[in-house]
Amino acid sequence: MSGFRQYLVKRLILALVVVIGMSMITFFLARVAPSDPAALWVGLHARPEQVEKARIELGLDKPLYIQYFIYIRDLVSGSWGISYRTRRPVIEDIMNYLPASIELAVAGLLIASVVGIPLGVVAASKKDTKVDHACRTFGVLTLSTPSFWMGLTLQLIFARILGILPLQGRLSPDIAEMNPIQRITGFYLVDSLLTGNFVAFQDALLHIILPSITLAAYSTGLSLRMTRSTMIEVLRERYIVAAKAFGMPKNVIMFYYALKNAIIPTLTVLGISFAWTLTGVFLVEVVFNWPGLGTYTWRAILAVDYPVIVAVTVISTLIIVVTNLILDLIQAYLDPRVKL
Amino acid sequence: MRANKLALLSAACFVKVRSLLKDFEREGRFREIRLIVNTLMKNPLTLASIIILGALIFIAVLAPWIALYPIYESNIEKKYKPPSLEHPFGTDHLGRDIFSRVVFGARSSLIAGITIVAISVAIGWPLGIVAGYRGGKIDTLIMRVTDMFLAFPSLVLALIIAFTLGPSLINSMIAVSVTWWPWYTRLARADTVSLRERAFIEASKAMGLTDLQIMLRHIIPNTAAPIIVQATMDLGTAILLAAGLGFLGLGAQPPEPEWGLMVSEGRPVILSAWWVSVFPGLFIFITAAAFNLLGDGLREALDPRLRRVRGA
Amino acid sequence: MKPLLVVENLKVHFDTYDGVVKALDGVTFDVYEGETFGLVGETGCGKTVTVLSIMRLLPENSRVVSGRIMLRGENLLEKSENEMAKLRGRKISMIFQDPSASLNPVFTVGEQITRVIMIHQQLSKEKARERAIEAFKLVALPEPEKILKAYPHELSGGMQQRVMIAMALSTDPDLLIADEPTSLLDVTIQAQILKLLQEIKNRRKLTILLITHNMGIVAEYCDRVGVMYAGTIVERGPVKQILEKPYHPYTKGLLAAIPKPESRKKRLHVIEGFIPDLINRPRGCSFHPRCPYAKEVCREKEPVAEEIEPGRYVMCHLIEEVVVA
Repeated sequence: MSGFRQYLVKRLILALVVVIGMSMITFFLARVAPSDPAALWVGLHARPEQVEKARIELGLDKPLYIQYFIYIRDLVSGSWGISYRTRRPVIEDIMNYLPASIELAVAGLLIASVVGIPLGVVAASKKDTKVDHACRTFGVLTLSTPSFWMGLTLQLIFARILGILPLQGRLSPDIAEMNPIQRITGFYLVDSLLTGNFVAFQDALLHIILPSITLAAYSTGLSLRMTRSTMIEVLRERYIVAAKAFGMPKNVIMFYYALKNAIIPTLTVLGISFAWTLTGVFLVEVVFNWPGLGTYTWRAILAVDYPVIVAVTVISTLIIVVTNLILDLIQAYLDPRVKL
Repeated sequence: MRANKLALLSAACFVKVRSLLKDFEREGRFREIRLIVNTLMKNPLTLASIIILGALIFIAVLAPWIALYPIYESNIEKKYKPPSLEHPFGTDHLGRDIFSRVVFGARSSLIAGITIVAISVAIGWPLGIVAGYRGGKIDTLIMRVTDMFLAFPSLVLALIIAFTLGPSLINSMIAVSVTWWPWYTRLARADTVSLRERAFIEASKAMGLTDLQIMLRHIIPNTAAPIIVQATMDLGTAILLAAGLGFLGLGAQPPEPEWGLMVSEGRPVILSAWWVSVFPGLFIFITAAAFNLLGDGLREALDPRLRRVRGA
Repeated sequence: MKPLLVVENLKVHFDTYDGVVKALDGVTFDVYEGETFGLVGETGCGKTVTVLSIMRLLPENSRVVSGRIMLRGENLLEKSENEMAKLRGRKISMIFQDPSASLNPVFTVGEQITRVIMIHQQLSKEKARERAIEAFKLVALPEPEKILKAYPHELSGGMQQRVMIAMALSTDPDLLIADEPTSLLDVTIQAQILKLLQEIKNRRKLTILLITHNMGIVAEYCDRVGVMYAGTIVERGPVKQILEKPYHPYTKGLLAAIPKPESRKKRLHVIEGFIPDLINRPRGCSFHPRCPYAKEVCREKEPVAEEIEPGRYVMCHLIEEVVVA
């Protein structure tokens, strides 16, 4: 298995290069921003001496490459600066808001995979029939819906007109007061179950329905389309015809034989779905007032709060790089053709 | 003197185009194009999408003549009027006619979408071909840079660029293009790598064609089909992204009639004046859906033909 | 000898973008029990379409326009998909041209063959594994236990093809269809595989339908042969007779085209012209545009197969003249 270890090391180095590269780009882009961070830090009504003092404090008077090294050193040691807007350590804010985003992203990804992938398989097995066309149309529609518009429309229909689902947020204010969820993981659904707080669980579940469906829409369409084309390609292969020639019944071929061939590209589908889910999280959080990293970052951008922006960029890059790495490793492990 | 040069130049262009067309004819490309168009027309969904897109382009180009009211003038007395014969889509918070603004919004969205995809393709496709064809160190270098950019979720980078350069439609377009070209590089490279091994490439080399000539004459046309399909579908997503940035306030700025921006402007009154958000959003949806359907149809029409290699 | 398989007047069309391709235009032949019947012809003459029709594995855009395929008196064309699935791999087995493409790359060959065995015989996994090892020994694969654990890409072309043969024969079928099983293999391996097939055929009660474009293989390994051209069988009969005295102009051309080292001729014999467009087939005899003997009647009427000698059929109008020539 030493080949595998070699591959792992190679990919890790690559991932590291990517993250470093991204941090550099982010850093320099942020420093190039026209607004003066020192002035922002001190506030609008500060006197020039205060701005100067802040500049020195923030280390902005040093040459750029030294600033970068300080920045990297801080990043690695975990001190990610103080948010200009909330005045709290960025890392604290991030730890507060991250679980909400992860919970939403996981819910969205789950829905997208559970709906999109099986529909893609069905569409491929019944290629060119009405079922296939219906699935493909469904996929296209979900791919084309602007998530913010869909969120707003869902809110309109379900929260106001029908009144059966909550409008926004993670938890109703009265539930948050009466049955607060004890924080273990930060995931409301998990924590409330772990502590037996079923009232809060139900409330949290109701709250997550609309946002997660909105978030899942694009990835569902994507998963459907990609799974369908993967399955079609697999089904065209000679070894599938050969399997039929040996008398393998159709359902065994579809759900055992061909599926294993399709799993590897399906992982790619999952990876891409995940990346798009991260993108969509921003918009969905803003629409539903979801207290997650997306809303936090959005407010940071509007307030030109660049320690936050830089930190969030690095985090999201890290998440994507690590996820892709894991997916790649799984793929390499599963595919016997890859010389490991 | 100038006139002579111009005449010479146009004559040269004319001759070049003539010979190109003759080549097309000889290689039966016209017949192929006609076949592709026929296949496209047979699928009702694709046909519908072509019609919709045609209508949208029509609207965008002729916006000044189709719009009913000036789009920048506010008319506070008329604010938040529901849809009527006078104002088919109602009015917004400044009394402006939403229908007219939606019509003009088609311009920003279409331009944004086309620009984003055009830039991404223009960067990504050649890079992918070079990486795939040359292989070795150049390939590794290009692919490492590509991987680096692929790790960036486009929205995040778009946010950063909006933050750095200031929010505007143009900046958001640049931001998205910068993150999109890697997909085309990967696509082009994969195709090029499999083409590189084909016998006709070796034959061309043996006939003395330089690498550049081979890339221009053989590789580009044969990698075109999946790129075109992907680009068409990406047009839909690009429009969604541009509108998304507009919605977040990081793209086009007020008082631009950009669809995403209009949706966000209607957000505070979604319950009372739903039309302010719903109509622009509907148009985003229809446009993106049309592009995606077209891309799907193109993929069906081009795919089996794609594998038949031309110029062998 | 009884015929095991009888194909009568099989016509198969394909719907394509460019028009209707009339791939098979009345194919008739029969295969006797215990023999090796060769189906020989150029690429594109319809050999593979014929056997895929027998197995009912044609692609979706195909239509069987007319004809019957009788296996022991039962018409295969009238069977349902379920009934066919029971026959495939059990009564009729097929091996394909490219063994590396016919084996699933993500499963070991052991998994693949045991699954086939378990599908057709209610055996436990261990029993199936034993039968798989037996089958591997039958095809002379060295170290069968090791091969069970191998992935297809880890085996050479010859070994892959042996695995396929083992899979095909593991269920003891009556008829084995071999579609150009050796075209992609080295010449020496070719000989090994074909000899192997012959041995197995002699040992068990196996009938082989062998597709090939190589007259040499026909000469060496087949008992009877059908020569196919553009979707019809133009000549059919015992191999020895056809080789010694070919009747149909096409067969003559094929045999003449085989390079003979002792021949004094400086140029290879060539059959003039190209295979016909299967969408717009020529009127009359499909070979007439290339036939050196073509007359008026060949351009007008389609020939029928005539039994000019017992067991020897030829589709040609000018049979008397050609025979004399």
